[in-house]
Amino acid sequence: MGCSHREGSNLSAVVTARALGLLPCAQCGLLCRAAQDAGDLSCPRCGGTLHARKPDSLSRTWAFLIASVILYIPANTLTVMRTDSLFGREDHTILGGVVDLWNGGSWDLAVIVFVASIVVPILKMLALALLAISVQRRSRWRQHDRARRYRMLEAVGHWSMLDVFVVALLVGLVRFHSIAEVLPGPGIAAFGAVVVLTMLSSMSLDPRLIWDTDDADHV
Amino acid sequence: MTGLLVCEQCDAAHRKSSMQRGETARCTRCGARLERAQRLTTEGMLAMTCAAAVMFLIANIYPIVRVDVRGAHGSSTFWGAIVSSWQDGSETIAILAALTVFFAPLIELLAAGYVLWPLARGRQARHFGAAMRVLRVVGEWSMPEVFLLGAIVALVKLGDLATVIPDAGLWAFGALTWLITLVTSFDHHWLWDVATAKEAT
Repeated sequence: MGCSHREGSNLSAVVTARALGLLPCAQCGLLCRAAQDAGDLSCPRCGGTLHARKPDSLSRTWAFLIASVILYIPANTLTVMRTDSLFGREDHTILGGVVDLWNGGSWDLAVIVFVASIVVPILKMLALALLAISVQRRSRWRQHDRARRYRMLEAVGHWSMLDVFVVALLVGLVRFHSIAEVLPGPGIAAFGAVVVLTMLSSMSLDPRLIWDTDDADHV
Repeated sequence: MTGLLVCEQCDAAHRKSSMQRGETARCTRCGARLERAQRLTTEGMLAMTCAAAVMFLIANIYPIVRVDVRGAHGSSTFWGAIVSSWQDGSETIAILAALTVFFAPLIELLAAGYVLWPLARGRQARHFGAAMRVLRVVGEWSMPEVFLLGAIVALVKLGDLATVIPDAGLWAFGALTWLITLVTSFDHHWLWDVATAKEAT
């Protein structure tokens, strides 16, 4: 059993399921009694495998995260879209697409695309690295904030897929061979992979690890 | 072991308390949502699923937008865009878009219908557990709402080049986004508890 401070409020005792010897099923929420030898148990209600914590959480998080950081470079330097029109040929990058929207007068959409395609992926990779490092160091630093940041990551991560859909639609719509044509570039595949990999990375991270340091002293 | 509620995000155990419709219980340690009292009954959710299925059909059959460039007309359905991306050499984005905007919502709707139809009639589906697992996994990858925003961005980008008219497919995607969010935002644990209760009686 551990204790935790809640900012601005009095000490409140927190009892974890682990301390009670309970395993909550990740699939259906049924509380099962943990066995002594912590082997592979399955939930009696839904048959899902029971884990006290997500298996190999940190190594999986790091693996996906490192892969996404590597792919982030081609995603931003390579062409995501090529336009052929009467006005000539143009290659667009992710950032270039935002600038085009801004110059075209759609500053509101430019901000949305900028946030979804640039701010969210960068913040997500930084935050995942920060979370993974702090968990590894068994840090107790601002647990509440870190937990909230993790939930935010989970909620906004998939919005970065926006640019993939924009390119797919433009390619499908602009097919007037003599007048104008839009072709996908190699950058967009890399960008899509970055989004998928960061999603996998944050899914692998077990937020309960943030709080496990509270119990460590007592186990 | 009933009467306890464990936070999925930090493992803190809480005592269950009764809640009003639409109320949400939050974890005292990390602030995550513990449980939400459902607004809709299983019948209501089944109705929403059927409506979402109709919108899904329209969204995939009708063109999303029509374009007009110097007398040349064009229009594209969602599948048209996927096929063009594939043909123009970007198989990755074609597969990504097909999975997240077509297959994931389709599987979600089928699984939701499969789970809810018998429940609304007071029975539990034979493969209830498998369908619930599918809903949970696939739900993470279903993104019609992002596609909707992507379509709006694409329309604006095309605005300088051509005359663009949003078509039925786009409106259907809008409705689908709203309905599918209602259908899939239910508390999975709650549905499991409902199903277990139905089985017991």
